[in-house]
Amino acid sequence: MNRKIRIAIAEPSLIIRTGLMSVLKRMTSLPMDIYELLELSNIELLLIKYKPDILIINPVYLGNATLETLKHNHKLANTKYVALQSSMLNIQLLKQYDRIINITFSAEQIKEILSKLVFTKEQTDSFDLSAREKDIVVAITEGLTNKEIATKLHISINTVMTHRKNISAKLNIHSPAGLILYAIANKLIEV
Amino acid sequence: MYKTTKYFPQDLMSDLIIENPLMLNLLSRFAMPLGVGQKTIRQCCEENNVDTDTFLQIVTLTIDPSEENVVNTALHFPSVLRFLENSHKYFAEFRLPFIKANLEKALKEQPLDINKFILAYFDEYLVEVKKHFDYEERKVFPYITALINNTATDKYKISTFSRHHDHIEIKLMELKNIIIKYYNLKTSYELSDVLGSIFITANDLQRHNELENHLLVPTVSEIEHKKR
Repeated sequence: MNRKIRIAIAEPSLIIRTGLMSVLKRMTSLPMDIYELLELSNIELLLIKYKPDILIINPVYLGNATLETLKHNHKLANTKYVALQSSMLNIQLLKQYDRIINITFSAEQIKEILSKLVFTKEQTDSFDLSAREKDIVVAITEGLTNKEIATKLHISINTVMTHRKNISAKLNIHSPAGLILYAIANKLIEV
Repeated sequence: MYKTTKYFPQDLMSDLIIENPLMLNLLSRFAMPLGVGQKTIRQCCEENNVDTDTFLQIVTLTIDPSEENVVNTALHFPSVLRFLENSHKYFAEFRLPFIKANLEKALKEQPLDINKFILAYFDEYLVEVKKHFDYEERKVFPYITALINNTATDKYKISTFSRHHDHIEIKLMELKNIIIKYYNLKTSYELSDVLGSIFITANDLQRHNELENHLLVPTVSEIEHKKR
């Protein structure tokens, strides 16, 4: 995901809301746009217009029945709902949320929760390599350079580089040595 | 801006260690002995010639390595560099060879003939780690010492280091991920154990790297700035 993550915060306490915002803004490795919801009555509008990737909301602020309604009305928006927990809450209430952020969490924990929410889906969508990508993996394990791979497969060097980038992203393997292990395990090459 | 750490010089060293098992490693890297009794963190540090503020800064970053946990204290560089060098020794001479030996043992039980490739991958990784550490010890650390003592002569700058500072833990994490995702290995006590060790060590290496990036680099570059 190259664009910024859109995050909306719905929390009535000024101190907690601005505190959370300043924690989020310091996470420079996770670029985000942050939207503050100041009036609860605007929440529907927020979901329609701003289409946040993640809505961080105090469950008490929202109340019980409405989260289900919100989720139902905005099924297509792919918004994830994170409960911002600052007090003891009913576990049934919390179960409706995708994740929980407790106000005692460290910045590291919050960052992990947010990045998992936005990145997991894309990875599982495109996990298998295409036939062409498999050819490239085999060529890499043979120790060929990008130029040699391009000649062998009759494609441009740029295309080879794009394939390599996609392979790394799909498999989360970034070294030729790692690709060799992958290729052996998946019987792309004989040993 | 002054930000407090979770622990204070007057806290008991035993509390710090018992509440955070990671501190055992930290202590050995500062070459501080156990048997801390009722001694405070400050007492333990002073007895072992470790700067207390620097120690606590590294404690804080070990617990949570976020950049915002870097408190702007004047670091005592001899303490930091000793800590980093000992960490290198721990990884390169003790921990990674230990993992390799256990990996070898765990794979011996497996009916597959791909084991030698996994071990070759690990060997290649070990060479890279040593090269990475060696560069820091030969080039970066002596430069910092010279900078502090006002005897820096060459044109080296800490930014050169930060530009080329790789994430040394990635290849180790990838090995573990490849084994978990793609290798149809029989689970055994030995295999689970060694994979667990890889998890812990990869995280430990990552923390080590972040310490260098978030603490060492900015503080040194501030000093460079003042001295120019």
